[in-house]
Amino acid sequence: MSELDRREFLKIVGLSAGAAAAAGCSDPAEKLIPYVVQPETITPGIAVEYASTCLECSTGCGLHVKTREGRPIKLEGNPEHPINQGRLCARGQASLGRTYHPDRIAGPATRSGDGSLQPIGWEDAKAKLAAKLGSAAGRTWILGGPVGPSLDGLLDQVAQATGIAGRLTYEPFGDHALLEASRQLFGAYAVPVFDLTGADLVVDFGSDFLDTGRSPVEHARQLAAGRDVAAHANGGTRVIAISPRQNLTASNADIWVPAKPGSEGVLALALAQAVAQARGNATVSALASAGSKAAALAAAGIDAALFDKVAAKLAGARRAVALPPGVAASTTAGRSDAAAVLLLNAAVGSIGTSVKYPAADAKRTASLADVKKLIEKMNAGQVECLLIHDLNPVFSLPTALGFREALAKVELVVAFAPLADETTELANLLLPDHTPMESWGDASPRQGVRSLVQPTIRPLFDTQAMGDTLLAAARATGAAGVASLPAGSWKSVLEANWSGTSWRHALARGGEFGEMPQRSVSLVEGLSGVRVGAPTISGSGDLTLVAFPHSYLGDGRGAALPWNQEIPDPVTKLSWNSWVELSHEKAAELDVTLGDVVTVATEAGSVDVSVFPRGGIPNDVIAIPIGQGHTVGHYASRAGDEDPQPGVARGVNLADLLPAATDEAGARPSSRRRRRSRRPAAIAGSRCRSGRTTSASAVSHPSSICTTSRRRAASRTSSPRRRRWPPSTPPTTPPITPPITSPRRATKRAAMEPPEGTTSPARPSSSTPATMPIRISPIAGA
Amino acid sequence: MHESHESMPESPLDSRTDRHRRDLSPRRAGSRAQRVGSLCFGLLTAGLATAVVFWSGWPTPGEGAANAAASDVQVATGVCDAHRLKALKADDPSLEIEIPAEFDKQWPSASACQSAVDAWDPTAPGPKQPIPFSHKHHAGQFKIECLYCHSATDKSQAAGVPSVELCMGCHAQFPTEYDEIEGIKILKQHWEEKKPIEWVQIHRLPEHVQFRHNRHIQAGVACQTCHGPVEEIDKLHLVPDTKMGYLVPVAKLEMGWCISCHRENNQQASQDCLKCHY
Repeated sequence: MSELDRREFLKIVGLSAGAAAAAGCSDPAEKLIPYVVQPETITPGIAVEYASTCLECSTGCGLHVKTREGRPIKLEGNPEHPINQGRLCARGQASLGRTYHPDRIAGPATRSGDGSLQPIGWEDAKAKLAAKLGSAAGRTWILGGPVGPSLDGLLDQVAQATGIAGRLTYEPFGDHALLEASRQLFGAYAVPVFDLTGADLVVDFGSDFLDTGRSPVEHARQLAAGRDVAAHANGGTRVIAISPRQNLTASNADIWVPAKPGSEGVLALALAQAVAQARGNATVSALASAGSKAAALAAAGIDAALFDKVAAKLAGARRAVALPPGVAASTTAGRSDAAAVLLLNAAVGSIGTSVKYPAADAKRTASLADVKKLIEKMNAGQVECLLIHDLNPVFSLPTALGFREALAKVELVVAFAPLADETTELANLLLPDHTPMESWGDASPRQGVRSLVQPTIRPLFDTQAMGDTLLAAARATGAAGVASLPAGSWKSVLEANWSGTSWRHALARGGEFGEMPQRSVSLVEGLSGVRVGAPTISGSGDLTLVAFPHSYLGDGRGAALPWNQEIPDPVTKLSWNSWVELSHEKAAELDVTLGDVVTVATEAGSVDVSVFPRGGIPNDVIAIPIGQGHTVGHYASRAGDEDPQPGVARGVNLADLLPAATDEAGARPSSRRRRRSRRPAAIAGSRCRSGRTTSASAVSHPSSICTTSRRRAASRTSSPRRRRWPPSTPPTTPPITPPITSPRRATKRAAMEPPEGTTSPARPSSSTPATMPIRISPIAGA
Repeated sequence: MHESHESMPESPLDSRTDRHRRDLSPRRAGSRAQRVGSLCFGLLTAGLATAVVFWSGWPTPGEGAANAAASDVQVATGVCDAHRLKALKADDPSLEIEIPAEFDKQWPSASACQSAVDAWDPTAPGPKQPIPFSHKHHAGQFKIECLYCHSATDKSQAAGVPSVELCMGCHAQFPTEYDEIEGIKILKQHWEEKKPIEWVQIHRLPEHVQFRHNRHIQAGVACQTCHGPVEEIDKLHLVPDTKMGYLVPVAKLEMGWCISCHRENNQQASQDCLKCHY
């Protein structure tokens, strides 16, 4: 009898006794799996940190990636990095989860006719792309999000070498309005750095700089230092927050000015005028001559005393900084709003001291208008191949633009995203990139600061760096221009771009951190006065929708990460869902309460969303966070819930409510002429009440909140993800579960439904002045 | 878990040995019976008594094909087998053995051969490791320092298990005759295939405890304090706790045991909860 048989027999004899004995007593055996060859730098149990860069948003904070045995386990800020100086926001912390994400695309794949994915090898995949680039480069476009300077340069080179028709870099939360305003006022096409160090007054025009602003980690640090009571006998920096909704910044501000949505620009111009007069600044006073206190008071809906108080504080401040509107406060008049705020900075003399312009111009990126043109081309069948990277346009572009439909007309849609999303679902060639933790790359958050991205883990899946994929595909086309492409791999291209510095030193430090070369700017000679029209809101309702970026989800790219979903919103304490904020009075008037599902409709579409009544929001304003509403993703959608519902959105996508409108800057971002373009008409077409919306893409448009229906839509209500432990403990977020439908409510709802034929209220003229006239009409049907 | 074991033939690399398996040998029967209580005790004793009787005439590992009728001339099939036959002959001079010239060698030594056999002794307690590695042979007989192989113990919270490369650092220099030993054969196989060895963990603390090896080594605590006389054991195993029937390293590695030592050395050792639970 062989040894094997004997052992088998041994098992059988022992099994019954052993199984009976061991029930529940012992853990399954754990394995100790040492290295085959232990790397010299690694001692099991001792963490090794690598310097890298956070790519979660475009701020470009430096990272220290803590790894154990070759696995990144924790991210911290790089203390040497000038932007974040050792700090890291929650989104940065959560970005660790991308690498270990269940949505990772395991390798290159093609999508067959029935929508299923067929894995293919990298060689075949690249050959497929190369064939298309070779035959139809002139009908190929690249659409992507912002990438680091080296990858950006390589993409341009590849596009040029292969003769690709065009390349668009589109940032949903881009700073177009500010760039255009800077050019208008100072002739500098650059985003200024707002330095709060040493400021004794910060006036925030709705950018929410402590939460979702331009550089929240940096600004929070500067403000904290400025408010350090030990260092400042008078209490330090004062903050005035101008925002219709009491956001995180307004909650922490000394003065909250609940100005009506869209009035930021008018208010800024009036303040600039008042401050310039008080300080005797004739130049600014002349430029801001259009600013009138009366108009501002009317537009903002605030009383004169509050205005005078803010103006007096600005006039008396030693150093004041005014922060231009961000995403939540962008309107169709975005450029004029930003210009008015810059003018206010000029009035208080902070241009050049607290508002610093870099010496170099910013690289022009695509605006929503450019994307619209691309969509037109796609619809016209002029785009045969579309390469999409670092962007989820199917999710983040306004649904009304029809990107999804246009994509169906493109023969080959190539997606480079490492995680499955709405766009990869529609792509027919997936060439997954590494996640940032697995990648080489760089970032340039501002001039003078270059930051490196280095891999801290060997790629977990069969992915390839986009730079390598494109280089290989471009070379394989054999096009004439290919000879001009840099030799070697993406990493060697990156190293070549860093050839002026010590590579090893830069890697160890995380980059090259110098002072930003500053340009001295002054107001352009012969500038005509800045004008901001009164905020006008098209539409036929009495509510104004403010679309604000979610604290952790950004433009929606953070929704895939479970940590971002789980951490409660800092103001409402809600998680794992969308909500609509409205005032307690409004809620009482509409007879809705926490968790009721209401329909919010604009002319672009409507969504059903749970109600969160709160203080700190005017009665005529509602607010919904941007970022949720994904239909793809283990965490982003409801596909990974305990009760899995693939394809069902978690929360609502604000893109469904946003019209395809753009602002002055967006309409002609590449034009040197500064004439005002015709703004697309915002159309009022709401069923119930409508108001004005602001959006990521500098949009103003009407919205409405429709009848409240106490529907028991369990899948849509925002009771957070079911918690497994402890089962009896109430969730940390207020449970928003709808009450049971009562007949009375049903009657109410019926009464509030608009009658047939009332769904097309008056609309404004198609040619609108600088700011959009918006009619506020009574509730349709009510 | 058991089902999968049943359906799967056990290869030398198969290390899916769980704790139940440690009880399958007759010698372990008593301790397991204590552990599971009187109900199982009877069942187990009866079954194993049968098994012991049934097995008594069976070969033990290492005897292999050389096991034949006593009257025949026994021919060695390898160097290790030659060592075994020589030992038998020394005990019983009447035994007729034949050692072919190619197996009549000093290396691998008899003790090396024996250690590999003992490390996989199915009758010994402890899980079967993927390699018949004997701590007694390495740390006991050859007095290799614990920290030579578990080299991170004084630096890291984890003691660390040596890499295959470290094993090969010595074993690659051994003559090829040593490949006859099962453990070395498997080791070299792992090295050639660049495949890590999946050892079965013996000493394990619950996840809510943070234990730092380096602190204890730096404080001069001997490895044996917690791990037992490893240098005397061929097949590493846990010992039964007499009161509860659990399998424990040397003493029950529970908080009371830790604290008692920390109290005795309270000048050096902290008794703060958060030192270990964080």
